[in-house]
Amino acid sequence: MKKLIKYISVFLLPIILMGFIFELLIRRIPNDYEYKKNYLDHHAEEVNTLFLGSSHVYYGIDPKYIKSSFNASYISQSFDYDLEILRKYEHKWKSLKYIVIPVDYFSFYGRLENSPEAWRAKNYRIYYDINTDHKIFNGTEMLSNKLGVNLTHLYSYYLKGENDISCSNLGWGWSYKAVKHKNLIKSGTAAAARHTAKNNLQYAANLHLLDEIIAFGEQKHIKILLFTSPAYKSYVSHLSKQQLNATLSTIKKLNSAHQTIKYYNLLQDSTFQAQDFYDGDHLNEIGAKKLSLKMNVLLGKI
Amino acid sequence: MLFNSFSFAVFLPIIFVLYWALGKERLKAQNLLLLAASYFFYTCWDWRFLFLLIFSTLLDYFTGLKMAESKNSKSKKFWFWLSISINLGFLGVFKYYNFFADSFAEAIANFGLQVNPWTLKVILPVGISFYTFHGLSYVIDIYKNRITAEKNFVDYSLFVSFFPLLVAGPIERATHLLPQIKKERSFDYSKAIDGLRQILWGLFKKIVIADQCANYANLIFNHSADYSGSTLLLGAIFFAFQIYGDFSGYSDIALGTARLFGIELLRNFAYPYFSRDIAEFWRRWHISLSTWFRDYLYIPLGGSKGGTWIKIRNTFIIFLVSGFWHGANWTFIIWGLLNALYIMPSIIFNTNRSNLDTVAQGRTFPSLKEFISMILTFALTVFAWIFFRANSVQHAFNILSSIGSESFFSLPEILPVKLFLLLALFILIEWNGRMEQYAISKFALSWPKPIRWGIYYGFVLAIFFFAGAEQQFIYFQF
Repeated sequence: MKKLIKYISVFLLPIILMGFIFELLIRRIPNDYEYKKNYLDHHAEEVNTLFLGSSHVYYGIDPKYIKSSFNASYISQSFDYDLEILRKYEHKWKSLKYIVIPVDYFSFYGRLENSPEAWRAKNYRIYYDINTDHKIFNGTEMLSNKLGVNLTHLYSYYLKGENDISCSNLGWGWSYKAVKHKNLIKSGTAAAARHTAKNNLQYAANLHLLDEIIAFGEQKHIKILLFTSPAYKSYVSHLSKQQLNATLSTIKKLNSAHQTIKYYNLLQDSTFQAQDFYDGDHLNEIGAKKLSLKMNVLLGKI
Repeated sequence: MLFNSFSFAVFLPIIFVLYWALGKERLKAQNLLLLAASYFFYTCWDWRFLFLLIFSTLLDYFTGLKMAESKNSKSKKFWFWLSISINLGFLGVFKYYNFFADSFAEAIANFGLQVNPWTLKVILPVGISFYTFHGLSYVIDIYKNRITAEKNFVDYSLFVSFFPLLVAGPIERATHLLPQIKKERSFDYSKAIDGLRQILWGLFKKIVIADQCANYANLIFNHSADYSGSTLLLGAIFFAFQIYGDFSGYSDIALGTARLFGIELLRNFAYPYFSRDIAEFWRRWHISLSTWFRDYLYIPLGGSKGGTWIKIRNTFIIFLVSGFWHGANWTFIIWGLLNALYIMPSIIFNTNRSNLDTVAQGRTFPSLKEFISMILTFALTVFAWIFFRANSVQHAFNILSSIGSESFFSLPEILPVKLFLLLALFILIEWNGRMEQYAISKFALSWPKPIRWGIYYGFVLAIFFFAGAEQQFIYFQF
């Protein structure tokens, strides 16, 4: 028995050692999550307007057009992570006056952990110190990703010098360029199908999370601006009316129940035309500038 | 808890250390630990079905005892049929009820009548086909006086529920497994190493071969209308390797795991794709099920005795039942019937036992005749796999019609070169190890340790390289 344990230990040692070294090397690669956390660690006290939410905000709002603001949203970031970010810096929001959160077609129907982007959950655990999920693998880079993905990652940074930062110094995702736009019809149709829920099992829980965010704002005297992000007509026309109406009616109820919140529906806002979109449901840098300036005006009205 | 999951990687070493720490003189405690571990393993799938497993175990245990105590054949017969009917009743309700209800409604609809059958909204309890067959073989063996009834409930329960074989076999026999459970087991270093090596090979087959083939097979079968005949044939070949890698990989992990506890399970696969005819293929594919059907169905029906027509009838029956065992779908039934048709010439001309040895025994390469025979046999199995994999009979015929069309002569739209290389390497390793229990059991054992370990590291690296989200084993659905 002892011999077997020794044999296995000796065999596994190089594998564990290699895994450990790779883990350390991958964690040293700069990335957006780590950048946003570091920014908030040092500047949360100065932030006046905080943007939360998913990719619609990440690519859609450039805080350079809005004074003292920061974009803490990220791809597929759901209400649970929004709430955790707010709570994490609870005692640092000394200047925070506005929280801006998108309530989109899919917002009440899913979570990061159930989406195709679920692999991103480990980034919140590793780089943000946010533990909303309890999957063992999400505590490590090596166990949460395929070895091939990790090796490519290491190769790209250490041998080609490419890092993972794809946001501006104020947290806006700049990589959706107008010149690289996708087919708006195809991508809009596909995104609408992807965002249409099979069931509403998570509706109540997500609504409860949004309620908690609103309560957080009320307690801290922070105003909350909810909005539905602009999307191209190919996306809008393929949405399920039932799901969309349920979402809009919930927001209406929230809006009338709370004085501290204000809602704007920009889903079919005519300001945004084809040239403003990167794909069917995301703005490019031109659209992002328009939305950011519009948001600045809307915030002034609250 | 899947064999290819992190939870199993934690579970197995814990049970292994506890088991051997108990010492060989504490056999009862070892068996109790294995039983508790097996029930825990099963509850990780769905705790509700544990009651069904325990009920099935109790049923066969008590009817077994009652049969042994019976003083006359009438009473013995009563307990025997009680056990058989309840066991098959459970299988029928959970696995086949919806199929019969829907098929009945469809048949009635042909006469212009409409019925809305009441269907069960239950999921199939994992492993039900396997543990039911364990129980059936046990009561049949007692009824036929081949074995005596087991009095120790823990030992009997462990025979039914031993976790390495619980959810997808191999389908064990009381005559083979129960004596091992009742015998003191001492730790054997070389057996443990051999078990680990077989687990490593099983994981390689599952994660590197089966799951990679599954990516392409699923893509092609799920969008079959979009692909040419040549691509569809490629998809069927990928599925052939997927199902082999998946199920034989599972069996390797099961056998290796059991060996770690000093228990030898029945061999389930013996390089079936190197078979020279269909009869040989069925002696090498899912051996524990094939021999089960042979011993408990084919032989009681008269087997090969009674002339050619009886043999033909019995062969059709076992392949039909085998197809139906895999699932309540006409695709499986047609798959079974196709295999029965394939094997008919060798039944009629009495050549079904002409290839009992291993191909190219003592030689590196097969002869041209052997090579052509293997390719033809493989082609026939691939053809049958199309029915096995298709979503419906119509889907299978659509695929076959595309394969038979002009588009068969075009270049496939999907040509995954890396997967071709992987499959070539896999076939080479399997060919090299075809005389052994599993392909790498003797592979490189005589080579210097650093090279041998380098090869093992290569397997580990490949497993980690290709491992993604945990993929179910195909046979868990049966």
